Amino acid sequence: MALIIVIVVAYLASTRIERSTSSVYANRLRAKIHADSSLTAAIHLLRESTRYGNYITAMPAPSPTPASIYTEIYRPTDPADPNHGVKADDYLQLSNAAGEILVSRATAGSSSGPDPRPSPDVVPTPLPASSPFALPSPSPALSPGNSYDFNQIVTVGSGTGRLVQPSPSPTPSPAFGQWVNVRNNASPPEVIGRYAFYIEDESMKVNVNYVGNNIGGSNMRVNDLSSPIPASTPTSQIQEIDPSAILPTTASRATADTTLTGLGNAGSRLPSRSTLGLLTQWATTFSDYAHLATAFSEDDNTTARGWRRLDLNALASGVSGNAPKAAVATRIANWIRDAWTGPTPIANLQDYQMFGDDWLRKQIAANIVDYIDTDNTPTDMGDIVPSGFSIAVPVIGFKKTPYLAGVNVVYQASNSTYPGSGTGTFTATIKMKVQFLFLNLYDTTLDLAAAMGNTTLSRVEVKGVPIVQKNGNTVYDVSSQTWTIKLSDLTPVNGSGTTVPAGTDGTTTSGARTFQTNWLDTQTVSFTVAKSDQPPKFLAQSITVKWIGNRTGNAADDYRIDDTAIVTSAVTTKWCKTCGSSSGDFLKESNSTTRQIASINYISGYQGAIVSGATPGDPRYRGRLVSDRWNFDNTRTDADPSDPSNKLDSVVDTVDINARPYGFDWFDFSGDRPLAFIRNGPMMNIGELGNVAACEYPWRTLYLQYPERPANTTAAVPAVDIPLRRGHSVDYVLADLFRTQSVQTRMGAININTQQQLGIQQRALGPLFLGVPIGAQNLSQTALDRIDNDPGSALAASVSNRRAIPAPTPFPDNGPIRPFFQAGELASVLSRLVNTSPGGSGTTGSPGRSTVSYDILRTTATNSSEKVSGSTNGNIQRDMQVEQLFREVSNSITTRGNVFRVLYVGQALKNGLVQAEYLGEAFVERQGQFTVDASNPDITRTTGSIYKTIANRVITE
Amino acid sequence: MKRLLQVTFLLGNCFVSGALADPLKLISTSPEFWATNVNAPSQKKISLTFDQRLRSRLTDWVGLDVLSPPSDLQTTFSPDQMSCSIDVHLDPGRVYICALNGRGIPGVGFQTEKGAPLPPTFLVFQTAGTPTPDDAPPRVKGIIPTNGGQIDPARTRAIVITFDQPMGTKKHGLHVFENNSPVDLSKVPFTYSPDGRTFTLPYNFRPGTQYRLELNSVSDVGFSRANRIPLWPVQISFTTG
Repeated sequence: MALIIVIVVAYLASTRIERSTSSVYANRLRAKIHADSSLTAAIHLLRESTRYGNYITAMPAPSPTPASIYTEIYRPTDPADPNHGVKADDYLQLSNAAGEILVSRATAGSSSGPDPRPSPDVVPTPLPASSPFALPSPSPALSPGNSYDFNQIVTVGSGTGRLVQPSPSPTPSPAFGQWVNVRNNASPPEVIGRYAFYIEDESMKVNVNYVGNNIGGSNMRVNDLSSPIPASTPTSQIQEIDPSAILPTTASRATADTTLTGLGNAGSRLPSRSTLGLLTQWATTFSDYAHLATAFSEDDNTTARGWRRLDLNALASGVSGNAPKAAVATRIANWIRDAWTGPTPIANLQDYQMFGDDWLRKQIAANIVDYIDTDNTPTDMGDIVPSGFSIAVPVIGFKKTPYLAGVNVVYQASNSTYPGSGTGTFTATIKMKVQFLFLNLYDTTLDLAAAMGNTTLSRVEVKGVPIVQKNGNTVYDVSSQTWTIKLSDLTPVNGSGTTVPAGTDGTTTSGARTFQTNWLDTQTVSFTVAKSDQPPKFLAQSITVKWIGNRTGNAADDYRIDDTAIVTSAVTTKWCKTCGSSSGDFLKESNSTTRQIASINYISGYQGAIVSGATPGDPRYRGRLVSDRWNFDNTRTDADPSDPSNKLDSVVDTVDINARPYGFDWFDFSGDRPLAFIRNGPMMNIGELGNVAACEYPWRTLYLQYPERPANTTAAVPAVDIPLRRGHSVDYVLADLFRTQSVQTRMGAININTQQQLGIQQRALGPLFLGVPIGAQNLSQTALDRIDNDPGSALAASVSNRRAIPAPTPFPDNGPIRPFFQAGELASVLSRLVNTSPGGSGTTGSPGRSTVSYDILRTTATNSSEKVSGSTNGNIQRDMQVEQLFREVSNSITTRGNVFRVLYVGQALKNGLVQAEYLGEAFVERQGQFTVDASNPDITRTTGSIYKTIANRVITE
Repeated sequence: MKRLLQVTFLLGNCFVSGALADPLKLISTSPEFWATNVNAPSQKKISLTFDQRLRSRLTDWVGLDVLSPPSDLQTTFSPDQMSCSIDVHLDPGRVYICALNGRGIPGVGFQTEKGAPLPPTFLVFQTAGTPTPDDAPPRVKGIIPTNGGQIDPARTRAIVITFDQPMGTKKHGLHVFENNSPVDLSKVPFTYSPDGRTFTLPYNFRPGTQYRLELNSVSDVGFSRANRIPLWPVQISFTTG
């Protein structure tokens, strides 16, 4: 009996243990099931916002600190859609935004199944400039009572850390995911479990698997303006990012980089970021920066619409022959038109916002092709009528060649029969020749022969030389004749050869050379001298100049380098500058010697802005009228060698430009050399678009700077024009339409909307900027802190401050306060940090040379002594690097990631008590599905996405 | 591909050419057109006012073979860029001509900021004072058909104009309007009598039509003496039976 009792008790005990074990196991399974539901719900949430690729992710500003940290996601939505679903093929704007916070949310329910999620929040439209563009805080607020805090203390490396982020230490903000209750189908339904999730965009962190290649090598942080051109960055490498910037400043960052990159090539280093915790220099403080690092980030590098960007290097590299190049340029121009994601519809753009004008789009597209193409032959798009105008203008791109900057028609009289007094009809001999001034904007000597070939068909055709008239009678008129001037007909006024020297930095007149023909024509003319005698006049004229290259000697291979017209007005001539009112008549006063006059014409700034005879400008300027860039000096025709101060001699071999007032983009000092940059090879980054001449205004390149940059002039018209153009420029959109990497899905780009940080010196954005060359120096930790953190200037705001309110008012490109919608929007923020342009003294006054102040580079931003020539800060007084900071990071930034870290938890409940919990971590990759447009094969839309769990692990259960 | 490009360019041109610039018009001048008795000593400037802003610096005051007033041609523009002037030195009893964009060269001369030009316009005036015989403007002595009459197109086959002085014989300034529509006379041969005083232009008049003849205007000073002194404008009208 006793044995039986023992056996029964043992059996019952065993059964109870088994039942208990089974129950525990069942609860674990239930918790796992709820956790799986959580992961599924998280992926569903991602799909609802990201499947068309036209979303952005962001993090709220850390100050004021949100009650709970989370990631936001915004997408375009149809305002009429009550569910605010993502709208395909649209792009995020202030007027169409809806968003979610990427954590689980629930509304109270009682039905079977999980609680429903609240509708996405819609950003009100129009949003007042004073209202931040942001999602409202969850209501009811996320709290320990209704949420799970994912910011758990966990083992990280060899120590303990936080599952989400440790900052601010020692009591970091919670990372709540609201509980979603799950009910069974009993009547009434009973809560049987709950789940929560928390999602991070891995692009908010530094991908240690892909960044930091070529440490110490020739491609690391190259100065992209240096010459010779640095070797390009390998396509397998996200452009230079120094991952060690997430380490504390006390670490040996060089050693850390070496250790990391010693593990292998990009993409094959680390199976997970946890491995970092084992590496020298990375191990000690791993728990502090673990939240700043990832091994999985990627993005599709698409446009804001989710369209695949057009690869400029693939399009333009290696294309030869004008027809293929023009076809590529047309594709680029049409892409700008079709893919445009600017802030206003194209139809409403003003003319200086170039993308509304077919002519200007094609001119810019040709310039882009010629920036990349390696040959020396400009892309010729034909003649196009600018919008609102009636006359077609040539659309010809720019190569690294000399540019035509002056055309002077010289007339010499001799053998005059005028005896010195009296009236009547007399004769004289007139000769005519032409001088050309060529300008070298670049850093190396250039050769006319290389630009135009060196064949018998390499030539300049001139027609319409001014008529000489006296007392109403035509004296000399060969205006209808075309003068064909071969390269071999041109000789330099000084020296020999066909080269044009590069400019000398600091010398305003350098970098030009004058060539001339022999006398092209000799005629005996008659002229009358009247009682009320008038000096000879040049009649108003259109001097057409066609600069034609030919490399084969075959007429079919002619190509246009320039095709322009110089429009002159009638002018009363004088052969001498200072002779009295009764003398200076080259016809009357050439009886015993020769006398010369000239129609002197040179590059002009902007017709509306020209001050009499004084301010010529950009030889690349292609205005809406073919003659726009030319000035003619209607006060000076004196060209006689006997007068040592004659005007003609003063313009020989001399650049007569005053770029400072009209410098739209880079060049606001007339002595800056070089004055332009052309890669003549694949673009190293998409920010190089800022080097491309826009042709819309003298010295205007595509503007990747801040809108409120003032003009450095008090001249009436440009003082208005330049701020107007800068303020309305939307050129930054281009940086989001194109790419230069061959690989479409890009690894490791950093989301500029990240706020991941530890303290003020360890930030996810830091690796983008540490060591970036800006002119003569690299960005140090001090500069890095100013970029990452508030630089303490009313003129500039850090990148992170994009989401904070910069005092005293928002900058014009950030009202209302909002995240970056497109990567190109970073350009204005960075240029503002580099060049805040407060004035010559750093705070007030008219600058003597340049408006550049380089806030982040200067020891003391307002210390005017640093601007003195020869100062210790080599960047001061240089305006060429304002866009360099953006260029250097432009290929490495994004506003959306493809890989999301999902922390998810499920709990099995019974009678309100937790029976089991499962906490997991998964990495979910969005893989875009692309469809080529039937009407335009350049348009490849994201028409859907699939979501793959690429890693999944249990944290606790 | 070439054809594709051409089509692209054409489409592009069609797209952008929708809103063309309005032509430039003169609002007022000083002196006025065809003014006489202009006070030479006090008329120190010739000024023009236009209906649109001018493209800076581009002017054309002087045509071929006209009677330009003595000037250094340094043009002063008003701040609003809608007016401009030149300093002149006028003599009494003289006729002057400012051939504004007189040669009609594309892109040259007075134009709007979008390049729309002022059509060739002749600002003719005469200063006060007794002109010498050489400076006296010619006058019309007679015109066939006569002003206000009705003619038989079967019998009248030409327009005949007689002047009081010999005229330059290489051009004319006649414009014919049929029912207010201008008639292109550019290819119609014309003759002057050997003494240069009679101009004849063969013309096939249409029956039942109103005609207007304009001899010289602000846009054409073709009727002028050999020394370029122009005829002051004359207009007549008549009908055909």
